[in-house]
Amino acid sequence: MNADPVLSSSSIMDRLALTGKNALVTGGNKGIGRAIAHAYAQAGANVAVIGRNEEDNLKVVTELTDLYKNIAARPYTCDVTQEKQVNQVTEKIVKDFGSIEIACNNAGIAEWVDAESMPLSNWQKMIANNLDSAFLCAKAQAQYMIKKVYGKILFTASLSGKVSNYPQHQAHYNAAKAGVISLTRCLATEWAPKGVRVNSLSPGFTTTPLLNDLRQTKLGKEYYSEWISRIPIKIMAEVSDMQGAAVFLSSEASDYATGIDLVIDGGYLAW
Amino acid sequence: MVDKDPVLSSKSIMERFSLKGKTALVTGAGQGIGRALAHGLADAGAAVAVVDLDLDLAQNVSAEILKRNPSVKSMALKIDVTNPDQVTEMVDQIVEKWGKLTIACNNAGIGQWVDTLEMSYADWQRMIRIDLDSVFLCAQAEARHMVKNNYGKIINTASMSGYIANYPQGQAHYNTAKAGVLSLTRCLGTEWAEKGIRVNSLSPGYTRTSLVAELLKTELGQRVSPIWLGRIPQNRMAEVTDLQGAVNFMASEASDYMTASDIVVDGGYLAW
Repeated sequence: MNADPVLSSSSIMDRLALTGKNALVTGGNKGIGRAIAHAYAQAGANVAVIGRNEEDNLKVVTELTDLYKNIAARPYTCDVTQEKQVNQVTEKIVKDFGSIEIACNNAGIAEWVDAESMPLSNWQKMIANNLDSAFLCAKAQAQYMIKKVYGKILFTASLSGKVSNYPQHQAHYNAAKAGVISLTRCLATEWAPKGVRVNSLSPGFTTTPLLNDLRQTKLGKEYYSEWISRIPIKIMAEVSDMQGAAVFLSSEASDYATGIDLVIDGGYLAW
Repeated sequence: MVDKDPVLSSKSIMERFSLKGKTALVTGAGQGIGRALAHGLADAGAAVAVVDLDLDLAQNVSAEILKRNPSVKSMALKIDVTNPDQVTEMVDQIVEKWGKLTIACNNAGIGQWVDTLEMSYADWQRMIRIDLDSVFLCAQAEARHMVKNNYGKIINTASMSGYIANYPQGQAHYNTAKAGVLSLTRCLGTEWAEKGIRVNSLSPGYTRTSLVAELLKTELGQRVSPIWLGRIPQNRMAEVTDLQGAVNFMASEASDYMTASDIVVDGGYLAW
């Protein structure tokens, strides 16, 4: 007789917590990544903040260590498009923290450009930053997770991986994000027997510094009302709206979920 | 920037996961997945109405909840979710006793294996009525109350069967009903988006409920079980407890920007 799983399991609140786990977040020094770093710390995880800019990394680490007393946070400078740097920083994090249970591969860039005039170099830069980096990071992280037969990898995908945004043109971004959603499925099934869970989070239009910059442009101002008209909830997401999904997908409460994409888009894809 | 930084001004994510002060109902909560969801919501502090066609089962689960979580409230309700009057009565009773209804898990359903060439029209109609019509009736009654508070969370139990045809068992009516639940979730999620009601669904993969555990002991069960496992990347079935986290998340404030969406918890089945 198996024990009744309902009565023998710990409280779901304990299974949603990340107490004592070690987590990393790439692109963790601003926007959605910073919000996820905060949420991980709030849920009790130690956090490695990874970003290209050393100063910005340190700023977020200081926020975390000031606000949350029982966790450790450390900054790591890394360009996630560079294989050697990714391998080195992953090794360093495992050395500093002892292990890595949670990896949120979130770093990415955005750009609006029409496909017919897009230089190949723009395409390549986008794919390197938003897709290649996901492969490089996950590959490096999984080496350590497989040894422990446990790990949670979370990618930041996008609703743009499922639809073509309107009215802005960003074929390279959308193709890269669709690639992330596919990579999620592939790695999840490959590593399922090894205890590593791989899922993605697809935010809708989110108020981030990156999007705010785009919104300041002439086109951005024009586009904003068009976006809102296509979001059933009628507001853009705040970065804090992504925190719950990230913590859920990083916690033991989601251990049977793998290869999925969790869409948090205010209903955008349903219309 | 004059806007407040949402990261620093939001409550801790663990507080946003908490369901303290909220009231919930779970249909089909007398056993299986529904029972686990009822316990999960109670674990997070919600008052939980255990709704089932079988009052004895509902009362047992309600008593279990009070024993495991003595600080929460619970009630048992005998309701036929295919009956519009009883569904309205369900919402009325909860609102009368607890003042409001915040969270509704429309989970009640049946399963049946029958090849379509052998399927009677009555089989088809029964399945659509219990697994799809009931979700419409419940959601409508729940939302008629929730709009008054400009807030509510509806979570429908769909299934990975709403995306694919299961193999090897024939269940065209079940799969069609569950695809209907996914569509209804999108429709209601968008229709009620501006009224503060969030509508999402949970799509479990193969789950070891007590009913399925019994089925697996039969000759047929012995035959299909290895076929199922061979198609699940994690190579095991879900326990009912594997589904609690997704529902607690969708029931909580931590998912307030999520609507008309679905969380698949299937051990990777759909990815292959």
